[in-house]
Amino acid sequence: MPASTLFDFGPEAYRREALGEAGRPWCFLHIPKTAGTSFVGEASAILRPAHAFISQFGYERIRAGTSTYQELLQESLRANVDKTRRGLADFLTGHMEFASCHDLLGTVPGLRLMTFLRDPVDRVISDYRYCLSDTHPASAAFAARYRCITDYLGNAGEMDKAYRYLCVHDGEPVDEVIERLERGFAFVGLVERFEDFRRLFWALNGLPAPPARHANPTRNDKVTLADLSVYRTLVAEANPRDMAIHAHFARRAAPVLEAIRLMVAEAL
Amino acid sequence: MPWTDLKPGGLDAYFGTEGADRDALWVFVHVPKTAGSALGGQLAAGRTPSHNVTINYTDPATPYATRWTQAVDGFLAADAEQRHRFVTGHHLIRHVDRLRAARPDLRLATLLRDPVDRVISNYRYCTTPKHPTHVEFTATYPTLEHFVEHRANQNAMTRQLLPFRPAYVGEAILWIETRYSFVGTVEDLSKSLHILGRLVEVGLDPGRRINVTDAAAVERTPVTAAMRSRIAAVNDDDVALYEHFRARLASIEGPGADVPKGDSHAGIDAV
Repeated sequence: MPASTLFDFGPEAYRREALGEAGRPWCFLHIPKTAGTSFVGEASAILRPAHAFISQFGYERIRAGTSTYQELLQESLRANVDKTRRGLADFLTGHMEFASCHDLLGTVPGLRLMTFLRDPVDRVISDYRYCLSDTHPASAAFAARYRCITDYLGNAGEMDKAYRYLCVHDGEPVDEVIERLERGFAFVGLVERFEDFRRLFWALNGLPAPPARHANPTRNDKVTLADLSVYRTLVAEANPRDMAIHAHFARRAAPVLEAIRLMVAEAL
Repeated sequence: MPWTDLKPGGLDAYFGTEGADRDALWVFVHVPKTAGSALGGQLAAGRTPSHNVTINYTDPATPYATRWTQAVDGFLAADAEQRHRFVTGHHLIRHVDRLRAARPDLRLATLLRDPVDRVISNYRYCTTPKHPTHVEFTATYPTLEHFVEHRANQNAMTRQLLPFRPAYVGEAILWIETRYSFVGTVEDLSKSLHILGRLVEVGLDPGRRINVTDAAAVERTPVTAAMRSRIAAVNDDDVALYEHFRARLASIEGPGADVPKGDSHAGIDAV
């Protein structure tokens, strides 16, 4: 059930194909600030979740220098992949990068990969504001490192984050990442049409959509959206690969958006 | 000195450090159906001043977590008046930072139990009138299967021992190894109580049983081998945690670890 079925044949064919695969586990690659926390919240209440994450104790160990973020995330992912492989979970999720986990994910029979994409400019601005807010565990270090958004945009490692989450190695051509999302992922949603796409996800599972949630919204009075709006062009220029990926799927989804809306509306 | 520092053969040194502060506050983290009622009672009587932190389980007006916070507040107020040497309760670990701030000399102790046996025992007990909310409990979980399959009841032992949600069970084991001063098991109760008794300077009787689930509850809920396997599967973190500490306890040998003859393992709360 590739994501391309939706774009090539429409939501009804896509749903039929998905229902034929009912019961296969999902793996949600959660790119930061793509409505993922809201989605994980609702999915975890209905499906059996396995979360790869860094705990409060994990952050203490990172601050103490005894472990790294990636080590702990990999350890958590290994444990949760194991639960999924043993049939104890059917919704594996976390802020994991495909490059560091696709071998491990490949050990789970029938695993269906999924993700949400968001307009890169909105995503970067949201991520920047969030990382400066008190909600972020390392906001002080972030603020010390990036005195303004142009400092942040100048760090190539923080840009094109969707690409970095989805590529198999840095430097992989964007076309190959797009091809992977089209053929290797079972679901690629767009945050700009989040309500329709989350309802579509539940339709694929043959389940009614639960009420929408809005978890982990960025609350940050220190840096307002108005302050940052003048930087939109700079943000777009700093994220060319994400812009290309998002533009591709926005273009692919456009012809079927109305059909998705009608299909999920019928399910109400 | 944390439990992780207790090396095979090093019991005397461990007794010398962990047991050295005779007025230290020992906190017994009581996981339900792990012999805690009987043991807590003995410790409370033998290591005074002591306190049992509990709540009114049938008070609908105050949220459950708030009732526990208030109960711990009550203990801290009492401890400010008179320093305690022992405290027990079910949810103390969630308040461990507050307890440690007030009493930097605190020592954590707990008993674990085979997770499958513990889940079965807990279900049976909660269906009896001894459990304060048994009517609501039985309506929510009419069968053991309902109880086992509900996510909130899975890996409960691990959650009861930590003040945070672990990202994986190895993290839970590491935290307990480095924060607790004693981790025993119901299955090796004689050895567990012998070591703990030395640490807290209280003679502990492993044969004493209270709060035992009655035979009728046992008959009402027979358990198949398939159900036992299912309980183990959905409590995989508890199984891994238990196996780690069971093996740790088994590895402890040397002076002070041998249980004197005459002690028996009667399996408190083990039904």
